[in-house]
Amino acid sequence: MTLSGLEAGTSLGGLSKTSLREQALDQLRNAVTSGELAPGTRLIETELSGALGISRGTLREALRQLQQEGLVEAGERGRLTVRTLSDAEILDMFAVRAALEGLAAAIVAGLPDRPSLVPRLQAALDALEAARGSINHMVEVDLQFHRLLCELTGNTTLVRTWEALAGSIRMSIMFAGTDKAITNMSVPRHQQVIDAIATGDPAVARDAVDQHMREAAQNLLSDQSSEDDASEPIIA
Amino acid sequence: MRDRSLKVIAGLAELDRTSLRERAMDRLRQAVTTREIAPGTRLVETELSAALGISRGTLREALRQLEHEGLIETDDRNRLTVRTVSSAELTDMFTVRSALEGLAAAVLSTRRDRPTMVRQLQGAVDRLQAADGSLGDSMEADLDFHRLLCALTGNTTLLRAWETLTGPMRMAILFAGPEAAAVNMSASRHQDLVDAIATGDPHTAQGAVAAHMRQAAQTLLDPSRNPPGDPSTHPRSTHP
Repeated sequence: MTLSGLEAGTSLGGLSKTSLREQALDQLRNAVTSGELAPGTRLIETELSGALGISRGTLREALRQLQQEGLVEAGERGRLTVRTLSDAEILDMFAVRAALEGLAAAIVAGLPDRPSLVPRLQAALDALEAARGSINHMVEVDLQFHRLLCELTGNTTLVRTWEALAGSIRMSIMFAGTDKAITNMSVPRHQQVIDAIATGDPAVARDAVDQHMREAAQNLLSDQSSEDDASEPIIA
Repeated sequence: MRDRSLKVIAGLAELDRTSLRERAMDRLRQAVTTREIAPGTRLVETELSAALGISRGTLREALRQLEHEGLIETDDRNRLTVRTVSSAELTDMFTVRSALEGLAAAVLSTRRDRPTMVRQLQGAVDRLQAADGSLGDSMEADLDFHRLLCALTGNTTLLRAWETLTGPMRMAILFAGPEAAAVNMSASRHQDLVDAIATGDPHTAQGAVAAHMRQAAQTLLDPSRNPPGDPSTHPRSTHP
C-alpha cells in the first residue's frame, strides 16, 4: 500500500479542525477512487492518522463520512476496509441511478425552457470530448454531466440524493479498470441521452437513461457473468 | 497482553461516547420532527449542550449528522437553524421518493420469494395500524414501512439513497398539522401498496407507489380538497 498522496497530509498542521477533516477526507477519497488504496484494503487507524497528520478522532469522523458515501465498509468485528463491489452491487447501483437520472431526464424533457437547457448538457458533453487523454479528468467531467442532468430539474432533493451516491458512482467507474471506464465514458453514449431529452418526450428521455445505465452496468460486470441477462429491465 | 487489555478499555470508552452522541441525536431529531423546536429556530451550541448534558464536541458531531440528514441547515451567516421546508421542496421530495420506492416495489413484485416479502410488509402495515392514536409511534411505523420496502430488495444503494431522504420526510410529516399527517399515515393507504406488490405485476406495483406519493403530497399541500375517507378524489400530477 503506497500512501504517497497521503503523506502530504503532514503539512496540514495549521488548519482548523473542520478543514483538516475536509482535507483528510479529500485525500482519502482520492486514494480510494483512484485505486491507490485498492478495494479490500484494510484501513488501520494508527497508520492513516500518522500518514495524514491528524488525530484519530478527526480521522474517525472522516472515515464515518466515507462510510456514508459508500467508499468504505465495516467488515467483521467493525474493521474498516475499502469497499469492494460485487456484480450484484454494480447492477443495484445502476438500477438506482436509472431511477434517479431517468426521473431527471423525464422532468427536463418536459420543462418549458428545455431549449435553453439542452445546450448546457451539450456543453458538458463537449467537455468530456475535450478531456480525452486524462482518465481522472474524464471521470470528473463524466460525473459533472450526470450531476448537471439532476441539477437542471431544479429539484434539490434529487441532487442531494444523487450526491449521496456520487462516491459509489465515482468508484464504480474505475472499478473494472481503465479500458472499461473509457468505453462507458464515450461521447456517443451520452449524446443519445441528450437527443432523447431534446425530443421533449419524457418517456423517450427516461428510456434513453435506462438504456445508458443498463449498458454501462453490463460493461462493468466481471466477464464470466457478462453474458447473463441479469440486467434485463424490470419495467420495459 | 497489556496492549490487548488497553484496546478493550479504549473500545468501551468509544462505545459510551458513541451512545451519548446517538442519544443526543435521537432527542434532537424528535424535538425537530415534532416541531418542539420550530422550523427556522436558531440552534445555539452552548444552550443545547447544557440542555442535553453533553460536551460541545459531542453536540457538534450530532448536529453535523442532523445536517447531513437534512433536518437542520446553515443560514447565510453560517448559523445552524432548524430546516424550513417549502411547498416546492415537499413536492420534490415526494417525486424522488416515488422514483426510489417505485423501483423497490417493482423489484419486489417480480421476486420469486414475493409471498415472504408481502408477509413482511403486511406485518409493517399491521404495526402502523396498531400505532394508531400516537403521533410519534405512527411516524416511526410509517417510516419503518417505507424503509422495509427498500431494504427487502437487498439493494443497499437503494436503501442508502432512501435514507438520505428521511430528514426531509420527517420534516414534511407535520407540514399541514396532525390531521393531515394522520390521513397520510393511515394503514389503508399503505395496504394499497402491499396489495399492488402482491399482484406480481411491476407496473401495478410502481403505479401504486406513484399514486401513494401523489396523494401524500396533495394531502399536505391542499388538505381542504382532501377530506378523510376520500383521499383520491382529486388526482393531481406532481411533475410532468
